[in-house]
Amino acid sequence: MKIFLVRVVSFLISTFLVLEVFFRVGLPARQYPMSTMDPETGIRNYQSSTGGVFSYGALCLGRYRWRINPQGWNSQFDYFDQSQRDNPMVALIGDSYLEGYWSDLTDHIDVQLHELSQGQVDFYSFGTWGAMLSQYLIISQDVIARYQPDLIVVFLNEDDAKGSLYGEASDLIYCFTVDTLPDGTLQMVPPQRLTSSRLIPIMLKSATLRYLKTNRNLAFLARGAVVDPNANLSEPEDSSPDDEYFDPATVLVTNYLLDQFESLSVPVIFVADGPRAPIYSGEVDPGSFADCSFIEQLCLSRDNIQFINLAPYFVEDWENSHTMFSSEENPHWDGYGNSVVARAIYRDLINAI
Amino acid sequence: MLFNSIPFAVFLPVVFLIYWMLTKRSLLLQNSFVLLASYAFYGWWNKHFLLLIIFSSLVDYLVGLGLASSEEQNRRRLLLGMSFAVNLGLLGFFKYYNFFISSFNELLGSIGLAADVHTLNLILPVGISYYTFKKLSYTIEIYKKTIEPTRNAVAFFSFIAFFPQLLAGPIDRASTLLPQFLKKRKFSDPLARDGLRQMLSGFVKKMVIADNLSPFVEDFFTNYAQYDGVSLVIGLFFLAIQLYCDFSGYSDIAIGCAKLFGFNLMQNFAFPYFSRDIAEFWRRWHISLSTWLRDYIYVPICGARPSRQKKALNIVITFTLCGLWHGANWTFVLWGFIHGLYFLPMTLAKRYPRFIGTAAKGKFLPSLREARGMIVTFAATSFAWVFFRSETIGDASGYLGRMFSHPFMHQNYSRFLPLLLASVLILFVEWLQRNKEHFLQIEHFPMVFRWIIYYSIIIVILVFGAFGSNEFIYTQF
Repeated sequence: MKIFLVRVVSFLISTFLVLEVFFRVGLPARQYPMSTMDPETGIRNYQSSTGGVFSYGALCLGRYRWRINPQGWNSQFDYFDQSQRDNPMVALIGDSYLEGYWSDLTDHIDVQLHELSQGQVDFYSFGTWGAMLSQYLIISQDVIARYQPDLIVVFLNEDDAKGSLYGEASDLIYCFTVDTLPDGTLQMVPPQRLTSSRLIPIMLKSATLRYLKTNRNLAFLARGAVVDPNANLSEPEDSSPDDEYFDPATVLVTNYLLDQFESLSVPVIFVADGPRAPIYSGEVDPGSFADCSFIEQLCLSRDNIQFINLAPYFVEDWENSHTMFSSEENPHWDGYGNSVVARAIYRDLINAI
Repeated sequence: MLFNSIPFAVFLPVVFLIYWMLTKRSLLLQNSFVLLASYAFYGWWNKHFLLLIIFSSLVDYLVGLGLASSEEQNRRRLLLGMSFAVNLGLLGFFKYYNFFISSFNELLGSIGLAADVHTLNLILPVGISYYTFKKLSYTIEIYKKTIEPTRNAVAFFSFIAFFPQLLAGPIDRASTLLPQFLKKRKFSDPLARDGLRQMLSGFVKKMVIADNLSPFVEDFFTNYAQYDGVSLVIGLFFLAIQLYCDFSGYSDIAIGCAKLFGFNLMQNFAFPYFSRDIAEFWRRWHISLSTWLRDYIYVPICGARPSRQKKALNIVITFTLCGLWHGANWTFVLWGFIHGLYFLPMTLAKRYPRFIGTAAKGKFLPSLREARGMIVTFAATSFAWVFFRSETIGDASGYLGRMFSHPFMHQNYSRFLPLLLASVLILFVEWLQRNKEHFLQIEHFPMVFRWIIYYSIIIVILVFGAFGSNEFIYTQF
């Protein structure tokens, strides 16, 4: 019995070591940074100065490089305040689409825009998974205070308006939301503090466990302790805004947030993403996400906010190239998608600064 | 609790360690702990149905004692009848009540009479078909005086509820398994190691092959009208491999698991797709059931010196009942009936049995005659699987009809290629090991090679395995 147990334990240990090597060299398991939260501002980004390779699926496809810069954002560039840089700067603010784990670091939109400007304009990217309009506002205010941009570009997606309501977004507990007080006034509600046990980060240093948790989506491993920025993301559904969906509370909160954006000291451009499936199936008018259309309507009367809808650009590009602009796994932009978006918005951005 | 689930991954090592470390001094402790673990294993699924097992086990325990204490034939018949009534009554009620009621209603409806007998919302207790047959074999054998009943209640209850085989067999007989519960088990290193190897072979068959084939098979049988004949033949091949890998995978895990606790269960599958005729197939497929049916249905109804015609008829009856055992649906009945028909030529021509022993013994390749036999047998059993898998007989004939009416439509077959290769690979590995109990019986290999094989299999399971705790097909029967 003892010999059997010793043999079994030795086998398990050696198996673990073999798997560790295999999931680092043979099929490199997904690496992703640990989320952190600024204790002062409550803004969530990542542990700075780290890097790795993001893979997806059982066969570890993709293998996109990422780099968390010293300021805690996934970008090839380091960020400097106005006094330390020579170029005008455009701050790009968005969710996981902008964060860009589903494309290589060198294909990100900030790099592509920088190249389009031939190095004359700096583009700083502030993408954070699961964010929505209220969180974009907080990041915009912080970015203005830290880096003094010349233009703010906010990338909108599904649920960005509705998700900003306190209590509506149960899975977005690490973002700022807006609550209505009994006297009718509105206030920003800070996010729940990001916590994780000390054991989990150590556990996830194991390539095997990371592979099982992220590449194979085995949820029982480290459930809820470390937030996988790309878990459970599915193709958003397009729909048109209707009166029932956008109740008075949503209208009130969204107008409040837009007021705050309008009062920022720099001009703002909203860029609305578009649906994927209708475009790939050849529809000329693919529609748009309900929340994006809703925000667009509310922006019509606001002078300081410009609005760009990406859907027509995607349609045009698909008709010409028939190249998918999103990952095969989910609707995140791939490297090509980043270039499509960069080309679509570049001229408007330059004109705005 | 399913073998391919996280709770079982925790349950097994805990039970194993307690069993060998704390209970090895006494048989009573060993059996009590096995019983406790088995009830916990079953209760994890549904604790209410535990009472059913306990009740029916108690009945057979008492019937066994009653049979032993009586020589009076009428009383013995009565006791055996009581065992039959309780066991088959429970099985019939839970498994077949709705089937017979709806068939009865349909029959009355077809002759213009309105039937008003309602079906019930019944849950089929998992494993009832298996432990019922196990218990019946106990009372029948005591009645026939081929075994002695046990007075050791804990041993008997453990034998009935033994967790590795509780959900889907093998249906071990009391004559071979019960004595193992009456003797203190000593840890056997070679047996335990072989058990682990057999479990590993079962997991790879279930998680990598069967569970990956499952969505394809589901799609083929749901949307057969969209496929051409070539695709549907591939679907048939996938179904045959899925059923085999799912059930033989389960059996390997169950047998391997029992070995860890010092028990030897009977072999349930002996590489059936290398059978050279239908008789050999049934000596290699679900052996514990086919031998049970042979010994307790076919032989008794045949009587002494049956004519060829009577033999043939009884084979058809036995296989039709075999179909009914699998499920309360006419598709299963027809599947069994077809298998019964397959036996007719050889039974009527008195050519049974033709093939004994392993195919191509001592050679790498089979002879042309053997190869032809294997191909024909595989094709025949695969054809019958269509009825086994389809929801209705109409669906089955629709599938087969489509296969021949639209043989070739230039569909995209390349998406089936990875699983075709995987299926062929598992068959190839099994062919190499066809004279063994399972394909990972490689204890004669040098340790380095063995461990490399284990590592490779574990990597294959982690990378290609399906991790959804998918149910085993045969646990539904």
